Amino acid sequence: MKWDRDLKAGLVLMLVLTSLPWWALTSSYTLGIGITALTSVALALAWNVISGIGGQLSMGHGAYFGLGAYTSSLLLVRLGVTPWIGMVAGAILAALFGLCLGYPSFRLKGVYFKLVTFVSSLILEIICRSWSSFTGGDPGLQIPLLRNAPAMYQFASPIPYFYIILAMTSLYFLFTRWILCSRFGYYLQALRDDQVAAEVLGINSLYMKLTGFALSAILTALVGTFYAQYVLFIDPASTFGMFVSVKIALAAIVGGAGTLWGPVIGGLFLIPLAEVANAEFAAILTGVDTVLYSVVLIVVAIFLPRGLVSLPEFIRARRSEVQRMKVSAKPAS
Amino acid sequence: MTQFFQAVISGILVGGVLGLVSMGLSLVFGVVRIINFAHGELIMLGMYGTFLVYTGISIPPPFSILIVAPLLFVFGVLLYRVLFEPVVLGSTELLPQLSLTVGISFAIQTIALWIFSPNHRSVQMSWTTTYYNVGEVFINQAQLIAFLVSLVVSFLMWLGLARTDLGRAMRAMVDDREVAQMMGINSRRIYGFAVGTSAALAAVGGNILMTYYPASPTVGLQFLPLAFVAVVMGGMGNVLGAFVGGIIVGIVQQVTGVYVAFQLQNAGLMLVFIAVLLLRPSGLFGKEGSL
Amino acid sequence: MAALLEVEGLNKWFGGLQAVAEVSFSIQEGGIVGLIGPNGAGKSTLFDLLSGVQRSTTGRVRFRGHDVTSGGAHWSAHRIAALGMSRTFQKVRVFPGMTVLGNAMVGAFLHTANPAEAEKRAEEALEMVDLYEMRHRSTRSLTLVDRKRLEMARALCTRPSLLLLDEVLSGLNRQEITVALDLIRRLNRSGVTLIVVEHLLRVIMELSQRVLVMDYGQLIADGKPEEVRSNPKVIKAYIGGTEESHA
Repeated sequence: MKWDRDLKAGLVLMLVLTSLPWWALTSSYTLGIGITALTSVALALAWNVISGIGGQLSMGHGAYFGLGAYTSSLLLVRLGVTPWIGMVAGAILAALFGLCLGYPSFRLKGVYFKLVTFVSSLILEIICRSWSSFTGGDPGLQIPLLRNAPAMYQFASPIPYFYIILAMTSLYFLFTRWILCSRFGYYLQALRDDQVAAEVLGINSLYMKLTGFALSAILTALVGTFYAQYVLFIDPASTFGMFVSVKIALAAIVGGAGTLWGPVIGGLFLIPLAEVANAEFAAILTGVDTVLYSVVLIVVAIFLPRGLVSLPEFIRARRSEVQRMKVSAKPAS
Repeated sequence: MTQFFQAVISGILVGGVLGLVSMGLSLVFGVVRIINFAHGELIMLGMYGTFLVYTGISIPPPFSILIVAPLLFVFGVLLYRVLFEPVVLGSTELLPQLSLTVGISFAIQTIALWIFSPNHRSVQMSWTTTYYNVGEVFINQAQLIAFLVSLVVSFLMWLGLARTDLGRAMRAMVDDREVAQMMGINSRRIYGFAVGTSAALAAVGGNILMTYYPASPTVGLQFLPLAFVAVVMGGMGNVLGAFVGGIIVGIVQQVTGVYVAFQLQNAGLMLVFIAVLLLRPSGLFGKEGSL
Repeated sequence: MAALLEVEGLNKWFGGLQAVAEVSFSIQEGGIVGLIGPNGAGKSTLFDLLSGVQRSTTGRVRFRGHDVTSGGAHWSAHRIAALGMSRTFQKVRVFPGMTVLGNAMVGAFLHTANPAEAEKRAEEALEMVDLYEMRHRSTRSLTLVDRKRLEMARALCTRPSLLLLDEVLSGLNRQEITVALDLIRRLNRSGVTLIVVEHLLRVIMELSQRVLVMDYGQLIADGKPEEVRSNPKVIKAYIGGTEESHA
């Protein structure tokens, strides 16, 4: 991998983030925001693999998140298996589910596929809700509090959690970087842009898509387990639900789908913004964070369709437009 | 056997209303090529509008349709002009649409939350709780009237699409945009009209729903997945297909609810949906490769 | 010597419409074969069938000795490409989300998994079509001519033994055509066999050693340019007058 600007910037960012618990994120509350933000970044990067780079828009990534969270938690609660192992099981299940979804994607065109992904996570949500004897149903599943038990993926303070998710996010970032430079990444993007043209260049679209789905699913599921172990409580709505899927997708889209920094910016920017807004205005009005979130979504959709990463480009274009207008406004000499 | 008939009849009645509100979603997709994730909120606005009209000036549904529908039509056109247009004309990519309509959806929900609070609101009238007895099947009068209204409005919609100039223009857009534009059809006007109409249809649906279903700020989210399923089953862009799709959704829901388990009624629906997508991706009435 | 490409009784029906009817021919390695015919004659469909983009209804295609129509299940396009057949499209299909270099690299990755090597090969191909200077540009800013050149470079990167060119010259002016023809000939000399679809009869006659003529899905003539030109069936098919270049 070339040691270029992206890697350098990434390293700097990671170092800054690593230092945060010492001077910026000093309370449980602020650490919580940091953890939530990093979780969003990780999820956005995972989504980005198949939906941004690969162009197979999934509105159902909640399915993998939920599968990760529930598999490790159920294994823990019912069989006493440590979530470190349960995490792997969850990832495998998610990969299998992803493969199942990958196959119809091969036959369905864009919109239909989006809907299938949307519906698939809803189905899992419903199954989770109704099979309450096994999954704890609607009221949810509580993970027993162990205080400090690193072997069982639990820690007494939020700080270890912060570093775990930071490590995961960094790895996901590096992985994304690698993909974008590799044959796999080029092939995925080619498939995204024009499947027929890609195929006549020797790209096996089915194999590529399936691989993409499986990878994206695995990465998402791992974060699911992390979430379960951090919050110590999961229920169908907060894992398989529609909102989860939508928020994951939007973090990447608003930041800039298909790019390296898009998901990072989307995750880091949107979530803290929403949290802070909510906190400030909670006394006056609830739901301010949602409105803010909505406004950002709408503004980005209208002015920056390619996401926040395209902001520098947008400014440059505006500036040159202004220049051109100034030049043409000068009276002919 | 009666249980089956009961389920089917209830399904048809409820499905008809769902079909009505789904028609708008299909129309907007076919004409403007936008998947409106905020469509559920249009239904919700129709419901709250009906509530306000009833408590404010005592005009009950379904008569208040005459007030609520036109208002929402205007809202739809404004929505198109102000928010949809820059995105639609800007790029044909799918992603900005998603951001935009989801953003609108969240915004409307939150504003509704502020104005109306999370409590459920309903419109209770003497006739909404009457039941008819046909053989051994119970028919809820409110649902029956709602269904009849849906039927009438859908028929009018069909007439409009088939006979009026605007209707024909909209159909032309769905079938072949480039040709339609070349023939001088004013896209902006048509698009605005399509979104306005979809809002009006949602309003009618919301209006009659109020007679047997309570309104809440998040009610739109309950209908949205169902509407999507109805639209896809009927063939995206096929407005009447969406109506039929809605009825099918209603029937499948009720039958699953009765014969399998109440909570699984949506699961049964989703499975049918996926089956349809795999076997006939363009929908039951869609044209091959219509996307 | 075994033929590079053998086509036997190829048929393609689209519902009630027969786009390709009982087409049979075989092509040896080396040389440029022209494929002409009025609009709608089925030339692009034939290309689709050969490259695996569409499945034939009946018939056989053998490429480098492999029966690519075998087993009921067609060889898919990517396997045929891997075997050494590449093509361009009538309506140019470059990847809009990638740079010029990126586009070419996609082609190069067929023979190497190493990004650095793919980049090198891609750059070489871009040099050949004179697009090297623009390699980091987005395809959005390219002219039609440049996009056609990019498509060719990209196809070249897959190191094909058989290259199908679908109307690469349409939309080009006289000068651009000369440059393109020169490139095509250079390619041929470097060992790539070509089938070229074109509307400009004069060009095809100059360029090819052999010409195939299609009309209404059928192959109505197959021979040397001079023979084909004076063939009454061919003249009849082009009854709207010969389509000379007006660039």
